[in-house]
Amino acid sequence: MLTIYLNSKKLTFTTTITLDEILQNNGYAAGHFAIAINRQFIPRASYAARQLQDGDQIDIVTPMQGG
Amino acid sequence: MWILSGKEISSRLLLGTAQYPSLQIMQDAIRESCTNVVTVSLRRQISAENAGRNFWDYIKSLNCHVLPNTAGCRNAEDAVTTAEMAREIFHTNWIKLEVIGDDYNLQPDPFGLVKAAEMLVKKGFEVFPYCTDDFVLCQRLLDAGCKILMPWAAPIGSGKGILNPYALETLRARLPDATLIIDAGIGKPSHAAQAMEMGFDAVLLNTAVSLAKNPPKMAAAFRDAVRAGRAGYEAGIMQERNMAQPSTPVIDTPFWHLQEAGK
Repeated sequence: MLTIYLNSKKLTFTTTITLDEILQNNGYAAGHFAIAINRQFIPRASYAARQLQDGDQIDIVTPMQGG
Repeated sequence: MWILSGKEISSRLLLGTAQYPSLQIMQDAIRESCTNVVTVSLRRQISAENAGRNFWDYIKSLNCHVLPNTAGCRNAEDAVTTAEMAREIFHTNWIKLEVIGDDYNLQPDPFGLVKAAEMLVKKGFEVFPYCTDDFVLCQRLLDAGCKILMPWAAPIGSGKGILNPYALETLRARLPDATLIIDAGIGKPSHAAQAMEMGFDAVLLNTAVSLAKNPPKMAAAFRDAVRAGRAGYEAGIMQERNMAQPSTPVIDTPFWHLQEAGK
């Protein structure tokens, strides 16, 4: 059993899964966002190769207003 | 025109994009300000459906340079991760570095700030650190490779204006080659004019415009204040004097000779 947190939403899997696959399965196939896993930046080019580990916390961020 | 990080910039007013009553009012205010640089941020996406897209479309239509920030970060590592995500999303190596050390006054953490600046400069970022007016901190940030510094006038969102003109004047005098942008605490146009008259290269503000009753009108007021302050600085401001000096020559004014004779 693999437990992954996608923006704090708990997801469980019985098989291995890549970052690219979990994004596509949750409607993030395309879009204007960037990702950190366990507070480390993950470049877009490495999404397909990134195998997720049990307990990984994925943060997806988008543009917002700022001062 | 002036040069900011290799880019030719016409305005010396940088404007934030937060806290406006609506995106349309934000856009109107940015247009009125004539700014070339707007600050933006990142947030966790709530749903997969176009979150952030509407805001980003508004910003792109303005043709401004984008300065992303690391708002909310409280340590160097999180600030670096946020900067890397911002670089990928906004396609810029500019980053307004915020590492907050205190919740009450949102004062920058000087130690985390220098640590993050060193890491980001090595990664190829042009770092705009939001810092206090402490001279030694500013010197350490320059040592870390920053070419631009953004000392506060007062705590973020306080609108108190320049609390410590001595410290800021000292920074300007001691760091003549650094690009110095006053960031945070500006409340009204006269504060911005004061900063520009002191010789600062630019002013960055947000709340003073976004929380005004009429943000576009206030943006125009700040635009004019920044221009006036800069023009005053460039024109050369007279030295203060303790003793009054008549501006009209007194010799040969009516009855001058009688006053001199004590009559």
